[in-house]
Amino acid sequence: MQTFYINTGSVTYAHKAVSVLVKNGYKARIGRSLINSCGYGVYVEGEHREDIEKLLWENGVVIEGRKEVS
Amino acid sequence: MRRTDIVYFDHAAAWHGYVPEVSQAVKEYLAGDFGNPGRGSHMLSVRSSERVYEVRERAARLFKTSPERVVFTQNTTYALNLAIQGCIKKICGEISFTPKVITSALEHNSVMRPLKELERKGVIELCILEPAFDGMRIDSGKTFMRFRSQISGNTCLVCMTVRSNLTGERVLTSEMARLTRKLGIPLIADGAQSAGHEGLDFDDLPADIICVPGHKGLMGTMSSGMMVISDDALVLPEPVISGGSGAGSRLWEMPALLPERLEAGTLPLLGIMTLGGGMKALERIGIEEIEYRERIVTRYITERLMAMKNITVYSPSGSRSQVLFNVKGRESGEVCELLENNGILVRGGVHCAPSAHLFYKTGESGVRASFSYKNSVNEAEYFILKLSKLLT
Repeated sequence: MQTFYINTGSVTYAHKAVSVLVKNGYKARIGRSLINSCGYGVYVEGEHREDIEKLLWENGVVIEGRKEVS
Repeated sequence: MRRTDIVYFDHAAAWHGYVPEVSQAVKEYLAGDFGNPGRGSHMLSVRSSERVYEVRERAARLFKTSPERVVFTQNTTYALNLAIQGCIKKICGEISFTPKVITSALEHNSVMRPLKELERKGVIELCILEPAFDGMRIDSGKTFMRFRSQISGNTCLVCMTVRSNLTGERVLTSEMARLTRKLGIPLIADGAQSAGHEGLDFDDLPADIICVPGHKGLMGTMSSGMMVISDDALVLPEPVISGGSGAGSRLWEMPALLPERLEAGTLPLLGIMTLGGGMKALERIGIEEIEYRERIVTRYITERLMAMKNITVYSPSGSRSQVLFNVKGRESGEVCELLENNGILVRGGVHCAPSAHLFYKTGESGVRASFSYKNSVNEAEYFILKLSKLLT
């Protein structure tokens, strides 16, 4: 299991992302941006980043960047 | 707790009365454990933004849209200005002719003034629809025909109130909204006197934008309001106010995505939290119960006023949540003062809707009694009793 950081830009989309991820069984939380020190993103535990991002895209969350945390 | 020494009949101006969910929201805020939502990522800022998002979700369920399509403002006037000016800015950027905007003669100044200003500046052609009136009530069928006949090739926007803030009569109907959608014309609805008093969502009323206050039927405090945008809005307003947005700060433009695109500056967190509390209360009580209780009080007062000598009633029987009337030979302000001396609070004057007074031929002002589900038939009886005594 890995932790990914996915940048959503705005805090509203960060919350939307958390809402989508938690409903789909993921552990997710909002945290400080790891991309450019501005804006927001989510820290999510999962096996495959691509699956997580696909889920977010399908639910209207725009992804502005990503980083593997652990 | 609610005062028992007054009868408050001015809910069309502002909510009055204890709502446990709203009180809880205020207590939570005053406990002091919040930061600025959407500014910074420390735990207090994130906590605030969670609260804000919860309210967006609640509003989204109420109006049947997505949370990111809920834009918070400080009241309906700001919401309407953002909607009207933002939509016109967008539309004018895409056409080479002067856009025509249709509104009604019954609008509040929060619609009429921004539209009149745009007309004065030559930005729009303004068409003011006079609803068909049979002397007692608006004829919605004939009004629809008139509305349809006003639509022309250069009609680019419709902006109208759902209910008159004077009489409570329905102005913008679902039929009119369906027509604008069919013709591809964006529609902004002023839901100030409707939200929280009756079902109002994008399924019932297929508008593009609905603007509502938090401090009336939705039971929140003043300094709260929303511009709610449909998921399939034909046009998205351009920003008309620019400033800090909490993300994308290196750009010189407002962010591309809603809602932050239209929410410049620090959000009114306390107002938003109370708005959330009010909507939670609405879910608890149920809109059908609210409609039922308000209808009983409105009908009681309307029918008895209609039976009284020297009183002209402008609200038809069956109208919702408010009654407009005048007493022959008395200024509306004088009647309000006499009623207040007996502990009854109503509102006199122009109600920020001068053209609506012309439409109803009130002689420019009137006395408005407006209700919530908390008002009772006992209070209605007391009102009629006192008014009758004052007039003899």
